[in-house]
Amino acid sequence: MMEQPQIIVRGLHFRFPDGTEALRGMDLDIRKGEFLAIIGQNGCGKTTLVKQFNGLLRPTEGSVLVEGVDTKKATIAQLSRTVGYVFQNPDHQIFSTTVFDEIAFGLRNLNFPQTDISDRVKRAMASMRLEGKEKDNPLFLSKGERQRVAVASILAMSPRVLVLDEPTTGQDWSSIVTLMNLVQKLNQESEQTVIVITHNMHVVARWARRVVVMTEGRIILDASPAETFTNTQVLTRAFISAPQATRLASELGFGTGILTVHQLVDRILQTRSPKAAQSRKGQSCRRQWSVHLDA
Amino acid sequence: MTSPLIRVDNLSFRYEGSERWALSNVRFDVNEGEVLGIFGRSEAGKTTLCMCMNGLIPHDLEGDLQGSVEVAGQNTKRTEPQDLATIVGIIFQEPESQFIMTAVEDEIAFGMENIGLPPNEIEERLRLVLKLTKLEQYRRKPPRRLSGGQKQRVAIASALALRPKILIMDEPTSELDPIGKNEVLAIAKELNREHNITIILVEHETELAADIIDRGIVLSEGRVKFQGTPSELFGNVELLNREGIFLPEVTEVGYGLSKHGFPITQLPFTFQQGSALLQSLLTKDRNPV
Repeated sequence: MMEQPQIIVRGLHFRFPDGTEALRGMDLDIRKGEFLAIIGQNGCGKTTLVKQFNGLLRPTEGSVLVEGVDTKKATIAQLSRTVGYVFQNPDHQIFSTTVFDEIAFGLRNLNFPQTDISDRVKRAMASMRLEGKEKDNPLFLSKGERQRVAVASILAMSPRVLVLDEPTTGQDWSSIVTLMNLVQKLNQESEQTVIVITHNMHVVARWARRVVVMTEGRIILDASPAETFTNTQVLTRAFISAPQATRLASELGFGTGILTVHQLVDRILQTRSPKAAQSRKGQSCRRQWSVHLDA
Repeated sequence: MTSPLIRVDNLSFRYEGSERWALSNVRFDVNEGEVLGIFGRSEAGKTTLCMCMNGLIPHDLEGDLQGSVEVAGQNTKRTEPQDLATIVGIIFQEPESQFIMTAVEDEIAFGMENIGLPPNEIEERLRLVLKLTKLEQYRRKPPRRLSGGQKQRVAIASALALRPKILIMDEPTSELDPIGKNEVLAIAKELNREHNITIILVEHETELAADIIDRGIVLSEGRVKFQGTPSELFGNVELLNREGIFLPEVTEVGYGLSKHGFPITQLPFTFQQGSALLQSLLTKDRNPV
């Protein structure tokens, strides 16, 4: 039998104290080891949804179960050991004067033993490639590094679910690639569940394996990136535009499934010069040229 | 030839208390009516450069400024910020951080009252900028209740009310969702094309910027590494990769195909160009080399 989903959302409604209904009936299962993107317009309820996972907000109606625990019956401290939430702006989260203290802060709060703390900080720093920066003041790090400190401070608590809320805002592309590749490594090597809220469709196309599209507090699509980016009706409703590579592929009548530039180029080579494509059979064209930092 | 609207001449700047030069020997001109894109990594000096052009540096943020910046013939170091405000408007990443009033109309009027415009003039300009930014129906709403794109348009309207010749937009879309991004860039394009406002645009999302810029410069560690037309800029794939700048996907497709022997002399950088290029490559009967 399949393992129970790690997060189970059933009939979830949420109303803010001022009466605004932010979530209007949602059902969602998230399994361990998934890499999920949540997309949709500002104000559609993405952040309100993920804040239910670590108890920052609780259902008005319906339920959220995290590893079998009903969030209405658990404290934020308990839930945040399972679900780590990285804020949109790292500077809203960082306030210590050294990188070490910043990453150790949550652990001290949760009363981890001292010896365990330095060990965990070390590991979290290594996973975010921050070695040697223990004594640096986060204020003087680059924006990309501050973002990685924010992620490391959450990872140090070994949450089994990592939630990144708009990690690309104000970041340059090379920092985005570095961060997302590091997160992908955790996802692949240690089955770290990753949930990312983003407006950046390149991030969705390149890193996510499942996409939840929201409008006005409801899920209107739950599908693979390839299906999402070819569902023009849903894209229009959610005011989302697919990556250029996908749009070019559909203009050329290549059908579904093309998400990245490499896939599109491979596909064109197959169409346009079958001979050349066959002589390289079994070998990806990917390594022949390298444009992106992640290639 | 007329003289440039903005002249940055051998500009270097170091923030007070810092050892590091945030800008070193920066030199470029911007002509009236141009849209200049500024690209580069975070901390490359893009925001510092923007603040040198509207006089925030060195008037509000102190430090060691060498060389000079002239806007519409005024040296920013020697001109009072309130005088520069009617020449150069600036908007930032987070429009909310600039809001202080409880209604859109008061927010926009604030700057005009500050420079002492008479009430009838304020009303007239208010109507005009609300129209330009398509905010007429939100006039009496609190800015905080608006969407991200609308908030950014309030910031643009407030800047425009002072009738600047130049609008500096420092990552104006980075906090916005896709609709908000398009709203803001569409307004920028219209202000430029219809009203001849010169625009300086800092934008990480090169696919959006590619549609509007006339010229681009790349900053790296405070130095100008490149300046040229969009086709020169996006044709220089190695430079963009080295500086961590996102390559528009259409450009990357063109680059990948050219590496495989397709005869591509000019890499596309807008979606339309990419689409046209692929259509022609795939219908042509000639095989790649």
